Amino acid sequence: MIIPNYRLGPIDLVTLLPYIAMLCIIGFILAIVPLLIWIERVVISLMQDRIGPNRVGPRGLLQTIADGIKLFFKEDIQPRAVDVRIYYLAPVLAMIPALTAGATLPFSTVRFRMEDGSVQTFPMVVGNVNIGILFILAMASLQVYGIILAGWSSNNKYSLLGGLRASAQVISYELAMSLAILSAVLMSGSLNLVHVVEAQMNGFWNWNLFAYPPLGFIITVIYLISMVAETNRAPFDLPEAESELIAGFHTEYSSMKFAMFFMGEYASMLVVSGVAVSLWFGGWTSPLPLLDFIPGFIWFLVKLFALFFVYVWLRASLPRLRYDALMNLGWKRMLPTALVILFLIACWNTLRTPQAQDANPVSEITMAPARAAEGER
Amino acid sequence: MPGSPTIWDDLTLILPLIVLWITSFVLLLGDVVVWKKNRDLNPILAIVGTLIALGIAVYQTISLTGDKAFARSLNMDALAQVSMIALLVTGLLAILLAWTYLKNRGLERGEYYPLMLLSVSGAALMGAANDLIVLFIGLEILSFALYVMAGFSRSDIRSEEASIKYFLLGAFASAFLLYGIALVYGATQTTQLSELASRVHSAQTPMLVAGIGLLIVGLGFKAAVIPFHQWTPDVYEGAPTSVTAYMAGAAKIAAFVAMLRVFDSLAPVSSVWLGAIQALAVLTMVFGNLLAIAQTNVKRMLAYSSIAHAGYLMVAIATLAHRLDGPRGAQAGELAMTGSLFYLFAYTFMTLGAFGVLIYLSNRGKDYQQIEDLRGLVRHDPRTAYAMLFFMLSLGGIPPTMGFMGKWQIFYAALSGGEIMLAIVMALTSVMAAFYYLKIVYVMCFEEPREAAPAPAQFSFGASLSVLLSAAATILFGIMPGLLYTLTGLVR
Amino acid sequence: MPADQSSDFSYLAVVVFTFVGIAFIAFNLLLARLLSPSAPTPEKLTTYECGVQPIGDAWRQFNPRYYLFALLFVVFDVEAVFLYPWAVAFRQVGAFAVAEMLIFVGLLIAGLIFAWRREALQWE
Repeated sequence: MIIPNYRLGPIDLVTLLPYIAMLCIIGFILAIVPLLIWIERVVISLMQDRIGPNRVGPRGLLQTIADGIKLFFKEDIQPRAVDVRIYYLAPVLAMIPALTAGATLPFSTVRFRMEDGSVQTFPMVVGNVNIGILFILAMASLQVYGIILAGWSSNNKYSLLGGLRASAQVISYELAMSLAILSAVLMSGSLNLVHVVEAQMNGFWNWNLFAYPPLGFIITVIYLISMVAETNRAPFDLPEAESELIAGFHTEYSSMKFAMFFMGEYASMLVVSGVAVSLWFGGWTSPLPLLDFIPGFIWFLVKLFALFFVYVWLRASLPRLRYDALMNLGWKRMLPTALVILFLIACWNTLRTPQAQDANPVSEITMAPARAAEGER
Repeated sequence: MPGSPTIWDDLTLILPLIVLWITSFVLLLGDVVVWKKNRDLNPILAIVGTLIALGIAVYQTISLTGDKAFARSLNMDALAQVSMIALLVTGLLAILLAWTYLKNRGLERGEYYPLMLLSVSGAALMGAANDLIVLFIGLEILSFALYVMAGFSRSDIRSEEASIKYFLLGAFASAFLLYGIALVYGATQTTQLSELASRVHSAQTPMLVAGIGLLIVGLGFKAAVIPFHQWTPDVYEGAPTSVTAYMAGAAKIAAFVAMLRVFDSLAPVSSVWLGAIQALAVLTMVFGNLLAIAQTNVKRMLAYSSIAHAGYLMVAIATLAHRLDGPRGAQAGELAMTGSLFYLFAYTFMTLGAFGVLIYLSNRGKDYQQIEDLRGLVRHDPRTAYAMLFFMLSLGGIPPTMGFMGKWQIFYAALSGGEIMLAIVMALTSVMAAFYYLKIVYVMCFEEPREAAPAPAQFSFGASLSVLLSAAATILFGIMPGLLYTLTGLVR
Repeated sequence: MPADQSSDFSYLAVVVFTFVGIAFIAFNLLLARLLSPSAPTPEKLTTYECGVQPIGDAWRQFNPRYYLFALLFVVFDVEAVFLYPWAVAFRQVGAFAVAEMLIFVGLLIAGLIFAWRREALQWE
């Protein structure tokens, strides 16, 4: 599908592309989160042999939307003992990094016919920054502050415990996560997610998942585990363990503030899954070259939903980890494994590619802002 | 030199350090993974590693292969190599002491020796630094290990106190040093010492003066110069004795070799710092010795004595300021350089020996720390008492010991450099110092033991050997200092 | 190379996106504030601890047992940050870079093994 590059005065579609992508992401998160929650509830109820939501709309499809509207009308109880400023800051901090991290996540490509008749391909991404991966990593680690501050400012013992657990968990799993991402960087030689995805084009056998067999596969599994832990989802949901800590860090939150935590959790799930898709599963590219006619964002969505299904599947099938098991898994299993694999990849890479020519693969995709900047001159 | 130096040339120059690093990692991991119970293997391997490093260092020194390395950030010249030898010898004696001490105290945790070897390497880096940043890194490597080692006896509250105190004050002093480096860099646009020497004369700004002042504070702390000495007695007393012995030797060598280097390159602007160094030297000599007189604890007394010795070494630094004042000054500068190296050797032998005697005696199940504990030692353990006697005479600077020869060289350098006043103060305070050193001799030899003679010390290989070596060196180099001159004389 | 030159422009989009996100959240919170009822009672405003009257508040000294982990985390996190530029420049520098990184990471792994064997990673 080739779109003509419409132009209105100095502004053309290519210049607007980041902002179009921005609208897509925000709209997508708004539209998709209720759907994800619905999927989660239905899938879990099927797995547990229950009926699940079935009242509002067909198969309960509108249930989450009803819940969301309901939250707007719920009383916002702010307990007397809280530290007000931090108490308000926490839900915002839980949401913002997840959203912002999405800004550097490319989710499709668009082809434009330029004025001179040539056809150019642009990535659909808000900010095509050349250190996109680092940016996402930084944002992912900021997210825990929302949880810790929520736990502390609530002035509730259960919340505090939840916050402490969250910080311990994050320091244990972030290492494995960043090392796993590092090996993807090593495989592709770039910190720009667009480059990383491009390096995996033309069929699923080029995916990083299958690179350096079986190292790519193992490191993918490590990433997936730490991704689940980073987002505090079952079986790593110790910060909000209902059976032990009431609701953990968000015990004292109600109404829209609670919804912010909820949205933040799903948004960050989407982002880390999106990163996984880009790093290991070929991003927006199609798994088989003959399926290239299907637009990129559809592939991206399909892969995203597949990973989300894994999330739900884990939640339905695994019990919550005990604390020492959680720390052991992070420090004694995943961290050493990730380090060793990182090394093996580095050595393999050195032995296999003696030439230094392809250091910076020249991108086939034009960087939209680059062109726009040229246009201004 | 034919061809440009490769990375291998650079690595060859620091081969002794590499040996130390490898040894310490083998020890660190071996202790927790391979030989978990065999505690004697740790000191033995540490000694082997140190001996190998020492051998390489001696070979490199006498074959005169010194050169600048790693893009001129290290200056592995004779000064660096000789100070490395001094440090390795200190490390060797200290390992022997620790072997006995740690066993007696049940402190045989494997990380002791790796920490010590790493701190030796840090001290050697300090001595070899041709760049203020490298000097700082070396200082930090040395200090971090020492902080941990000072608190090594974790169940002992005084050891903990020593560690915390040392750490807090040390961090403070590091900040001073770093600030000083930054200001000197700001004034001269370089951190390389050899560059500094050529640029410093045309950059005499208040910024440079402030920078040099902060450098003096930072290095003076490590060298325990009054008024930056407050940590010394508490840390020396609280830390395990084997650590105190090691720290006294290694930290002093590192700090003064670094000072020699820094002030050697700052000689063109000696008018800026000479006054400060002179004042510090006088203060340190006078008050170090005065305060030592009042002590009843041997470790504390030795701490103040170490401060006093720092004062004598400061005289050498002050003499270095006259390096550029004509041929006579140049000669005095050289004498000060070689003399202070000789003195550092002497200091390390006699201090480690003195602490070694305490450690050897603590074999009797009691920690010998008070001067009272030594009362009448000559009756029930004459050999140990005579060893202690030698060390005390040497520390007091009485011929024919090594301490005398060292002090004489610095004295002579100061006189020929024109630092008459400092030389006089040095002579007078040495007389003062004789009082408290001889007090120990008096207590040991001429007073009756208060209680019945305790069980004789069990023979312990490590401490005995260490004390023996120190005593032998103290006497041998006292009678025949020429043997050591061949080594220290290379530094010219 | 066509790419990578004008990332200032890209960062601008990220910043705009962040502000849009903040505005979105502020709008939601404000809307909820306008729509939701407010009828606080003293009981409602107490800290919720399963209906039991809370004793004291939660801001007291506590023992974050994971501080040893946190120390290790700092070490390894810095390590990972050092490794990122290495991973990008890796193909230009080649075998020498691998050797250097082997030493660097090897030292840290040695530290990890030591901490592990000394049971610093043991959760009691």
